Amino acid sequence: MNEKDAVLASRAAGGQPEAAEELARQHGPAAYRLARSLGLGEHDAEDVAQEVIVRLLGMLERYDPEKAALSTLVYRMTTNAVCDARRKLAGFRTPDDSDVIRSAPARGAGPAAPGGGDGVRQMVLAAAESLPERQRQVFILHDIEELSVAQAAAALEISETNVRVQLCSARRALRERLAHLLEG
Amino acid sequence: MSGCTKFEELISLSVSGELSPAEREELRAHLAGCEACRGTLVRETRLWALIQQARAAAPALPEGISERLAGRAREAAAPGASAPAPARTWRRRAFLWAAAAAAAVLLVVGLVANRGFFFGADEATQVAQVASGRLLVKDGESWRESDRLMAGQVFRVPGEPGSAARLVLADGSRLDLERGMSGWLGRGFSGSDPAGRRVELFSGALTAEVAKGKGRFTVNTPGGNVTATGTRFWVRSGPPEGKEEDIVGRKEIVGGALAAALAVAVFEGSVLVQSAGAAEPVPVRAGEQAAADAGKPLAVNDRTVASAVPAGALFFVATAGREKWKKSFEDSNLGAAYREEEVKAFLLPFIDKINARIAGGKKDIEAGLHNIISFAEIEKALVGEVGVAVLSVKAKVDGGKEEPVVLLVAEVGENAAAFENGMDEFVKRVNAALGAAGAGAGGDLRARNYRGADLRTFTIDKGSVAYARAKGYFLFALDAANVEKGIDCLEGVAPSLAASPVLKKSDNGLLAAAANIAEIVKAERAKEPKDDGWKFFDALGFGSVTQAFYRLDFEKPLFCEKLSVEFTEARGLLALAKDAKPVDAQKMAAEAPADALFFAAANLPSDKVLDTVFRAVDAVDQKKGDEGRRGLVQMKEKGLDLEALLAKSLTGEVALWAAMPPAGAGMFPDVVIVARTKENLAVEGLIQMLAREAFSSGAGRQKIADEMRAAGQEVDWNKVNEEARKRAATFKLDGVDYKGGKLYALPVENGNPLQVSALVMPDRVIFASNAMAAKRAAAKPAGGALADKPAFRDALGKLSPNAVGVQYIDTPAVFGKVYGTVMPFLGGWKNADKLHDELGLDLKKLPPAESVMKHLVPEVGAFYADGRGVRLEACSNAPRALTVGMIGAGAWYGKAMNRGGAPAGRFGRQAVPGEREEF
Repeated sequence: MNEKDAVLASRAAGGQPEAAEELARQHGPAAYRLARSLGLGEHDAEDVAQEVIVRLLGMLERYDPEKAALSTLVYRMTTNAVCDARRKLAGFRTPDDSDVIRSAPARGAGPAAPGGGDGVRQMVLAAAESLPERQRQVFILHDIEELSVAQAAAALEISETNVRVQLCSARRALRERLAHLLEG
Repeated sequence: MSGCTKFEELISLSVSGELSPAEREELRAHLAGCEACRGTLVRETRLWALIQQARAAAPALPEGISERLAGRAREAAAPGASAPAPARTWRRRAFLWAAAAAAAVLLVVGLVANRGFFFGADEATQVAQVASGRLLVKDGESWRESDRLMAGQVFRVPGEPGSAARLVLADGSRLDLERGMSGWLGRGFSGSDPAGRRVELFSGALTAEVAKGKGRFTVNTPGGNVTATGTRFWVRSGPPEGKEEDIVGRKEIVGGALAAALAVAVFEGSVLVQSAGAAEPVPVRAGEQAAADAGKPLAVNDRTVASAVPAGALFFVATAGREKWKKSFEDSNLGAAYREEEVKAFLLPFIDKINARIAGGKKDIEAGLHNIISFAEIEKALVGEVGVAVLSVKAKVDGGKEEPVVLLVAEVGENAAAFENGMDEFVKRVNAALGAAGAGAGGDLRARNYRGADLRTFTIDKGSVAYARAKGYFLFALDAANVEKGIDCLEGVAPSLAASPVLKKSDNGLLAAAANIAEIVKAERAKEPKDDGWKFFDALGFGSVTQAFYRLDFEKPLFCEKLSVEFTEARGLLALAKDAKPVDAQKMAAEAPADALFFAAANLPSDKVLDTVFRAVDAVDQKKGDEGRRGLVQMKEKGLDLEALLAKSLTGEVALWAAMPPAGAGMFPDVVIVARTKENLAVEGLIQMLAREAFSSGAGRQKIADEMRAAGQEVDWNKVNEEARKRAATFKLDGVDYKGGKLYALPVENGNPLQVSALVMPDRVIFASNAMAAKRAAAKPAGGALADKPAFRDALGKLSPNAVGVQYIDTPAVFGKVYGTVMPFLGGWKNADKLHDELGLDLKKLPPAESVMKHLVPEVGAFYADGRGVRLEACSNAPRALTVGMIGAGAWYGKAMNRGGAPAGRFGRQAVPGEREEF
């Protein structure tokens, strides 16, 4: 159990505005980053981060620090919120703006060699877009957001074995999609 | 393919370092035989490199986001705030378009900017700064010293001692350049280069600490290329005895015949090594090293100090670094117990005192050596695995005592330079000290290249020390020849101890030791070849013993130890090992109670014992063998047929346990031995003999003495003993029928609570410390059997199968019993105050047993034997070897304390109410 989490949560649940702010500063940026990695643009990601923080504050009274770390909840809520947001965004879509969500270059359009980190990130995330949803979530949480297998399993409420299986499938698909960057 | 699916998963997790040691081992074994999976691993390692770059390139947070989120949180948390409602309103499609367009433009601009930079790159871009040491750069046909380096500029480090250089590269990477190395750097460190960050290494060695997230990092050598996906590694290029002066530029190397050997060691992360001529690159991970001679395939091995020790070393011990020990203790049950407030309060003053004493001792030693060495500096450098080997024993030239030839090997990894500089400092201090003492000019320091390693010898008068830095190891000996032997092993020219499977490196290894028994015996024997003892030694079969090994691993939360003795052939007494059979511990434990404090079971080759022993004795001296056989006949005449007992009666399966009797039935544990039998004739003979012994030594003597007193005589013990022996010859103990068996209670003196009893059942014989215990052992355990206890099964499951003997201790219960008994007396110990003053241990503040007990778990140990060796395995709360050492130290300390004082306080004989059984 993380004592810091427990203390912060109880302070915020008790209506202390400083605690609520501290919680937002601690966990908001992570929610934002994850939302970006999961394919949202800057503004939508910030909206999601706000929504997650507000919802988190709303459920703190029921929060049990023995069960999950606050960060786990943040990752879980963000993943779900992004899922909803993407579904809503998809409703706006017309056939000709199918690449709106992720404005990344298609395969082969990037630099020939992985020289710049930005380009590489765009290519990796673009390739991840083609993955089935669960696989993509596992891949983003574990490989991009650097969660451990156990943390990712807790955030997605699936078993560690499932995380490993999904991760393996995701990496296999990515090896194929990014094959042009993986040749010696 | 389908068969490899599981391994594909392991491969995926291996690149991010998330495999358990067992999984890693499994994967490694599979990779050795599966080309497809090796290919997958190579691609996965490259994908991982991309992923790491993607991680590092996470976009910056938008300005003010923290403030906005905090503001929103404050609003939501404010008293009276309405139920949290999503604050967002989904923006219009037009906005999405704008955002997408902006991102795309940024991306394109980024790419173009990069490209522009690439095309316009200045050839004379500065790529590195010299942080320490000396660097020579090529200037026309000559070399000049420089503190900075341009892209493409050929550089080298001078060959003299102390001239290793450290470079800080424009991207934040660091290079530690070893003496005599040469190469040049590409442009990729300060700008863009399609080949990424590139180091060209002509010859010599360097350690690279790669800045993360800046793209590909490659060290190119004539013998192959090393691509970093990780962060810290060492690489060396060049023919082992290469001369750096010959090298003026890369073209000459590539064009010439200098296709060089390549060696790599990885300290953190992983690299891909593409050796010249190989079809595909090979991943080398942290804790591994690889080497290839020109044109030969790459060999990958674990990094362990054992790989620098000649295979024939007499003795070798290696320990993990301090951090690893510390972490293991913290994760162990002992660590958990130590974190209890009461335990900590009791031990902390002791630990502080010990530390203060050690610090004082170090200071004294340092002062005694004129501060030439500094323990603090040594400890700072020694963070990795350290090993000490005794290579041989040599007699002193001037007829003095023999002295061991010692080689010290330390894994210094990326800190090699610090260690080497420390030695240079040491040499300086020695010379300064000599100068101060007016002892002349001081020592002579020489350096030379041995197989690509930097070997230095420091000589004063007749004495010398030699040390070298090779492949990220530091080697030290008194004699350069022995350092050379170590380097030969490291370079794979001579066989090393690392080939032994027992000394194989493991992630959780703490200690490993090996003793070359065969060589030690040979050396001892050479001194006294005519000693008859050696004949006996051979006959027992010990002549074929080759090596003994010990290793200690930490497998959370227990310490697991393995001790093994290997022999070439099971001869003499050792032949018994060949005949040993696995014991069914589960079956034997079904008769023992679940709350047993101690339990042991074994399957002894009882039918082979006599024959094997006599044959061994015959081999030494036929006469002695015959004497032994006559002894057997005499015993048979007295009613004990040992031959029949061992060969016909016993099956060899024996169990022994100790358990507390039911409440109210005594305060001492019952001890029970159960031996499985085929027929019981000889067993009864044994019991009668034991009864006669008990009579003549105890009960009988007491009875006769009482008779003498009753007759008004003075007790003459000589007469008593004689009479007791006489009566014992005809003494016969009658059994009592009990549940299909016969119960015999041996005669005892009055007041003795211990009445050894034997219960002979059709298929087994039970010996117990009292008759009730024997009866209980014959029935099904009332409170459940030990065999069904999960803790017993779990503990057993931690060991290898097919043990010939198994031992189990309910450590928490035993600890509670012993501690609970001893604790009340400790506070009143006469030396308690002294102990408090000297060691800080306040016996009046002993922590409650529960605070330690609750963290302990039951322990098991097992014994294995076959035709090639015998082995012990144990998993315990505290390493047993360490426990034995601590008890030894404690005993020594206790003795030292009592020396000259009054004899140790006795607890006094306790009058124990005897538990007499009526039957």
